[in-house]
Amino acid sequence: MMRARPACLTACLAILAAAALTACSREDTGERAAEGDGAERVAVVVSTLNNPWFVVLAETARDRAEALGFDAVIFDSQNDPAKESAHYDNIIASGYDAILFNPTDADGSIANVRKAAAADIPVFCMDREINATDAAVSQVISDNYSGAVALGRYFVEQVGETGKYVELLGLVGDNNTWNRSKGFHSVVDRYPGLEMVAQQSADFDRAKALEVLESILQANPDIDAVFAGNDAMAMGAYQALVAAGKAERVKVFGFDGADDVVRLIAEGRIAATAMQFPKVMAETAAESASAYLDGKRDFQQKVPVPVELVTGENVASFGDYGRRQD
Amino acid sequence: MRPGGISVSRWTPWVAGAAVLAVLVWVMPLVRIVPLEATREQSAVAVFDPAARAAEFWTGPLQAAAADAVDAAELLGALADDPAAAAARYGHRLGLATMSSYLVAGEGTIVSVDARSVAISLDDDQDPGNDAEVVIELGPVFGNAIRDGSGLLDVSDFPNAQDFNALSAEINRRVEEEVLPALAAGAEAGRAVRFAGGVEVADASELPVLRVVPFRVEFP
Repeated sequence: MMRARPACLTACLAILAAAALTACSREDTGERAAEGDGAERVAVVVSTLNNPWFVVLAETARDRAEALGFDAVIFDSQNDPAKESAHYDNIIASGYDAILFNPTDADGSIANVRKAAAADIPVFCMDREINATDAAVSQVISDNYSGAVALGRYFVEQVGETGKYVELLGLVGDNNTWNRSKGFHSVVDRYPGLEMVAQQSADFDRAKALEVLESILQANPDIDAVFAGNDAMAMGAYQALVAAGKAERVKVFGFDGADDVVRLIAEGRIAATAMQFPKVMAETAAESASAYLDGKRDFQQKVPVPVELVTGENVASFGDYGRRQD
Repeated sequence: MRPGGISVSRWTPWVAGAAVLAVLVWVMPLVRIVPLEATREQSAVAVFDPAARAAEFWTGPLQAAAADAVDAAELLGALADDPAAAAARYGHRLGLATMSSYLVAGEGTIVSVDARSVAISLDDDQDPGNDAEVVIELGPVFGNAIRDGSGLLDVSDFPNAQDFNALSAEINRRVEEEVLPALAAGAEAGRAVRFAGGVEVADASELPVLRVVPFRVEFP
């Protein structure tokens, strides 16, 4: 008969017990969410509200969901995966019926989507994808690469086949950052006379772009152009160029189709942007959620939405985060 | 009881505990040592190889699909009659795209050549003149005409859209390296030519000259 249990064995059993308890509590969380009260509520989880483009995306999703008869609430992740994860925990515990989701990180956000799926809460991605095709019900995403190819071709037309330029990248964990960058470079790198003197991330943020470009201009005062991975950074870059007295000479190219950039294109102060259609994506996601809750199941996993080049020649056709209605 | 029996019973719990611990550590190791080569092989499987995937697509499904490509003159006629019906019958659309992509094939006569492009008048078109209905640009190649025109590759099969785009870039690179040099070398006005390739047609465009990105060009 064993009179004294060895200390190490006790420790192992304690660890096992703790692991078992943790597993039980996770399952309990999922079951609680699955047994929610059935109220038709939609959560709109957006990467950030510190950017007008994402405000439009989130508010359009919320408004469309409300128009379809849901109660809808916006959750701001503030570009912080930890906040996003906390939002998911709250949403699952509160028993929401669907999530319209703009992720902060293509890889890091997958776990959140799986967590919601395990709680029988369908997730519909908007604008940004996650790197999984078996977690979300559907992903309505911008065709960023093709838009950036079109922008790159226009960039070469406007800047010429020789010159120096700066690229401002968005969040490095976001696929859109790289789809835009790679699409742009798939064109521009074909012209060896176009030299990229600096490539830095400004996190899709206007204030950071201003700081980053001011710093770059110290070492590279003779640049000819800036390609910014979104319009907030394009605005920050333009501000830096105005402050440096170079706005007339340096061409700025953005991406998104934000209203302030479209206006500056019309005034001839920014060269071009690529219009994404946040309202189309948000409305499509909300309508998909509604259809899912009505019983539809055959959704296309990825639904690319075209991105259109906006220049001084066609700017009159664009505004209000989309194509103007004729 | 034997004299040594007390000693054996004193160690029995320790031996049993060690055995249980050994089993636990074997089943749930705190650290698992994996050969470096195995992790390399695992990573190689996880990393998408656009060149390999493009090669597989190029030599297999794409060449086979050429047999089903719509005739270029037939497509032009269908687009003139009813663009939406033509898109529905012959085209492929990516998500909510505002353009359709097609796989086309045709024969014609080269009517002009310059440094950037080759213009072709189709043999079986409704226009008896020498107007060019097809233009093949000599590069660089951009866009997704072949990838999307084939209808054989679905973005939903690619967890990361960057891979889907890298595949298209690789297909375009093969066009530039394996198809266009031969066309540029052999193209001259008046020469017959046969082609198969992809083409993108925007919904809003006028009746287009088909700008074909070829994956096959022959001088019969």
